[in-house]
Amino acid sequence: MSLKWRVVASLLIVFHLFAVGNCVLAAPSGPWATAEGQSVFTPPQFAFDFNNLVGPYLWALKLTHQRYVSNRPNLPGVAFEAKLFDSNGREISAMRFPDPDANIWVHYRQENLARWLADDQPVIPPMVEVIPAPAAAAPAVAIWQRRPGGHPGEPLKLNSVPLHLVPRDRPVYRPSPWSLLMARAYGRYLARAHGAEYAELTRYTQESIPPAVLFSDRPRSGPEVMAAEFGRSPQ
Amino acid sequence: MNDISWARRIVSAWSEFWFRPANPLALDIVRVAAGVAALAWLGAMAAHVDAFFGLNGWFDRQAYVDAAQALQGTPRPFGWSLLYLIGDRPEVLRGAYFLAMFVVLLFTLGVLPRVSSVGTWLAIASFGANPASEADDLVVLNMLSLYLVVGYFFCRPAGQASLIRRLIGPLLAWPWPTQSRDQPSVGANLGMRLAQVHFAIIVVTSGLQKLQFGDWWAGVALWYPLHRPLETSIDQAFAHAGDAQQYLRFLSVSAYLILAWQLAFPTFAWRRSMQWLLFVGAVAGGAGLIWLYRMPVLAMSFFAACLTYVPSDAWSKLAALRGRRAALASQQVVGENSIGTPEVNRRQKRQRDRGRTA
Repeated sequence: MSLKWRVVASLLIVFHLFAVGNCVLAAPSGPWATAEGQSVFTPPQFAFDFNNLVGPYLWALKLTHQRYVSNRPNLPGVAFEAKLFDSNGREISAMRFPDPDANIWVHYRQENLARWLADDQPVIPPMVEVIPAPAAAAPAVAIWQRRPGGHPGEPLKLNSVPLHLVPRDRPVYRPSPWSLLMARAYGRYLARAHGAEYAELTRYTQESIPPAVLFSDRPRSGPEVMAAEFGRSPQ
Repeated sequence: MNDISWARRIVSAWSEFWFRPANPLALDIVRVAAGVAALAWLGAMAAHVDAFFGLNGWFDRQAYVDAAQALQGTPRPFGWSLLYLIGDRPEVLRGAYFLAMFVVLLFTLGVLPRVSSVGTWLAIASFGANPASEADDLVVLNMLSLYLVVGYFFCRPAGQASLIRRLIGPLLAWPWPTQSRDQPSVGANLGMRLAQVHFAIIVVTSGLQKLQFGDWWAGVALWYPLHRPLETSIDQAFAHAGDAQQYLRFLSVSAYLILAWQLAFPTFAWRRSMQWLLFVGAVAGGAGLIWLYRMPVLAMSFFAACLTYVPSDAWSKLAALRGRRAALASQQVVGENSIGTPEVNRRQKRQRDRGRTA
């Protein structure tokens, strides 16, 4: 290999590996503990800028992966159940994912499908009163709520609430737009694949049992399994 | 003067690391390992082709349209995929799936590796692009298949090859051939080196990411995959209450060994004398990835990536043990792939020069 080609190849190698290493730096880091609680920090500006520059190159090579979800311990467990209904509203089938009978390869992917549904985001009520334009509806947000007077074990439902009526006396959460999009897509697919008119998805989440349980009196039960209904997804 | 000498040594070490011609044997063995991982992954999804890869599956065409309209909701931009060209025709998708399986099989067997490696990379990239099938576990496999493309692209066929042969590369590249197949090649070395450095970046940054979580510092990170929510009852979790301290001591030592292995990876991965540590970690890590994290593709590709650190001459010696020393002796380059001290490198160079003179 001639010196000229070695120089050219060396420059390409340095560029490529720098782009790969920089891609990791260009991801937000955290959550870190701060005085205000947990917070995710933005990437360093130089890494962010360079990553924007070389993004298409890494995207073409499929080398844009930045963080491993499996590195994060203590993620809640997530599963979902789909109930399928015919045009008369009769339930024709129900299935749960991840399917306990699926092989390990498929089971892992179904776990990932379920995980997309658990990306809830806090809803911060506005500090000022939002006044809609004349003849316009007040801006609304879909939040997880139990029906009024419902007991604590009852499934959460997705309710559209005017922004100024978002409860201020407790933390309020909503599914991320991506979770909603995925839930609708899963419902459409299952209804289509099984000849149903529509599907209803219910997500089940449970926090991990902490290791500290080993040093306490035996609790009567583990953390509560939370059910949340995404509602109807037509075919 | 001293500075110039240092600069020369750095340039020489750089050149030695990246551009020394190497026996393609290591490339072939990593190819088989990566090919088996890709075949296993694709094969296991055979009954779910439409669901995970098609535009009528879990993530359908409408979902792409919706995501495009609300881009702030997408966690990251979608990757490209050749499967998008198929649209929502399930029979064509299944044809593409079996074609991909066939190409990956050819690649694993070493048939036309320069061509089949490109096909395998395209297959892994395309079948892993759907957000419903995209996951952490394909990252290493995708990286390996990409660098195997680079390795085979720059591998030169042995002897006076015809133009077509030079274009398509070797016809068959099964490890441990009965006679000399390819010349030692810069490409074979370059492909393996890129895979080595990239894998080291993945291992170290993944270790650094673990340090962002208090559970890793507390040494209880492995508790969670062992006691998965929705699968573990309070009785199962409480079963170790009797020997809690011993149990947590074992888990915390294991967690810290994982962190130490990952963060110190570049200090031992290239040292021959410490490759036992590389493979102890590869085997233990692979077992953990399957048993604890249920990620068999990552486990297999993780092991394949660790194989890239084995120097070609070590494989050649293994081949010689199988009675084929004569076939490989002409290709053997002593000490290639290892980062030696300057003294060792100079001694090896003198030995080679003496060989040439003789």
